[in-house]
Amino acid sequence: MASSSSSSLSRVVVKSSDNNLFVVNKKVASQSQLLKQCIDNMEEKGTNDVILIPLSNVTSNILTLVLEYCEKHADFADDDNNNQELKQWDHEFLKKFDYATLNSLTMAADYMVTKSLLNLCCQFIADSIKDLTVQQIRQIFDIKNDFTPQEEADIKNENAWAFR
Amino acid sequence: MDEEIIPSKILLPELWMEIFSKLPAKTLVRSRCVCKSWRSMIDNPSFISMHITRFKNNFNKHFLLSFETHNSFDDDQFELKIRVRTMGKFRKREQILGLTFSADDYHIDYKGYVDGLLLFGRYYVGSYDLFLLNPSIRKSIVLPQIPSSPAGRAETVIGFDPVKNDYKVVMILFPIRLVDHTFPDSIMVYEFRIGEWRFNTGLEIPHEWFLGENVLTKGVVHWLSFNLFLQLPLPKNYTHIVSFNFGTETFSYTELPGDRSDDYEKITYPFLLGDSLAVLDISLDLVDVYHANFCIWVMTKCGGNWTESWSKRDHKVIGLDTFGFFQEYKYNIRNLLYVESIQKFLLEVNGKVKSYDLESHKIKELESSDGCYSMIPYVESLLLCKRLEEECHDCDSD
Repeated sequence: MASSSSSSLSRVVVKSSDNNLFVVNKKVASQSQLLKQCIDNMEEKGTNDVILIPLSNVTSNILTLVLEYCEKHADFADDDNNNQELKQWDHEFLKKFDYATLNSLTMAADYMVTKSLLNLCCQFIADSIKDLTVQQIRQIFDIKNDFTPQEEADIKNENAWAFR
Repeated sequence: MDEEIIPSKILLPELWMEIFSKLPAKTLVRSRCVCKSWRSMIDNPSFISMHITRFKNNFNKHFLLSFETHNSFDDDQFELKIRVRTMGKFRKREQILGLTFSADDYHIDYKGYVDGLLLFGRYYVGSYDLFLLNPSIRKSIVLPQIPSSPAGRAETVIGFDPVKNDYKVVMILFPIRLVDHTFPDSIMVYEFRIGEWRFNTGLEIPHEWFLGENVLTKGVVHWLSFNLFLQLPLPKNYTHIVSFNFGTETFSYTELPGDRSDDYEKITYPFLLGDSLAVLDISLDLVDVYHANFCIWVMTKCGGNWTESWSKRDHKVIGLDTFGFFQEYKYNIRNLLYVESIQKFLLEVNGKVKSYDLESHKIKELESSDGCYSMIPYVESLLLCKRLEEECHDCDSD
């Protein structure tokens, strides 16, 4: 596989679940292990055609965000991970979203195997959970309380110190 | 594409686990009451071990835990104060837990630490038991009665068995040889998941000589000692590391590095460097009598002779004043901790905490206490969160 044959793709086309097409250059796409794997597979087969990668559970508005992230990180791909400018950008990037978007973005990052984005989203959600009350957590993440009032009171009493 | 993925609007459980593994213990204890699925995710043993691993691998989550014990004779109370502080910032501290025991529990004794859990021995009038405490979730549990009280001295340790994927408390019963009777060598093992004590006999138990401070890493606990076949009188310098493996439940001996003959004095302390056992070796320079040698060795292999088991990490020449300090307090220095972020050792001498700067070789006093003092590199964990009958006696925080 080390032979540098003619097959080298410069761009791929990614299709969102709602059938929108995105042309992505290889360096940007490589930020996602899923896309990178597809490209590597095609290159090994020696295909010269532009390939189409369908992402059956990422909508186009979420895909736009993932690609925006990948583009930014591709620019810094040769820097070390501790670039302050990039860190600042990451933070500003996530700050804009509501939790529904953040949820979808997290799942898309997981599905597309974009580890740094997944980690970033999880850390961001974790940081916001830290300061929320149980009631706020349920509201924001749209979680139904399936405990009886007695059960809930028991759990709280077990660890009353954590609720002070 | 051969993978077919079903779209989903709610976050997958694996992703919640990922998020939870970044949260502190207190938030997780609170989050258990959000809904049933959150509670079962947080209580899941595989999540608890994932959380521990993540916290251990993240240096920002490492704290220095210290505790002091005080006996108050006025009201027959006994107090254990637990504090945590950020590694390297010694002066900034926060009390997380104060435990008060009644006068009946007249003495407690620190035995060991693993993954956020502290093990203590508790002496009553005429009886003795062991209890575990997880300060980050304020839970404690008393272990079942020890099946046989040791006839002689016993050493109690706690650690993780990577083979069974479980925690163990082990009591090593040192053999006593009397004229007409020999007590068998054995260890008593308490496995968390089984919840009972059992005996393991027929082991070659090390001599109890100087089994004091120990270092636990990667499922093995190490002490400074001598080899198994040594006869009295004891040599001046420690000659071996004796190690107990929590997985195989066996002891092994590793020769200490360098020349350890009685001709000249070596001052040796074990400590943890990253996740390896290291020893600090200080000795007078035989050629240049105005200086001393300061050497750090890291154990690369457990068992065997020293040339194959150690690698030299650091070697410095130090002044006689520094050497004098270590010589004067040779038997009083405890709890040697290396704090990588500030390149300093922390150590305790007779209830005082001091720092030793590896660059300048300056020794500074940081804190003193009139009670009994101990410090431990600490990460939070959720161990004991579930299946806990017994609560802390009395918890308050400030």
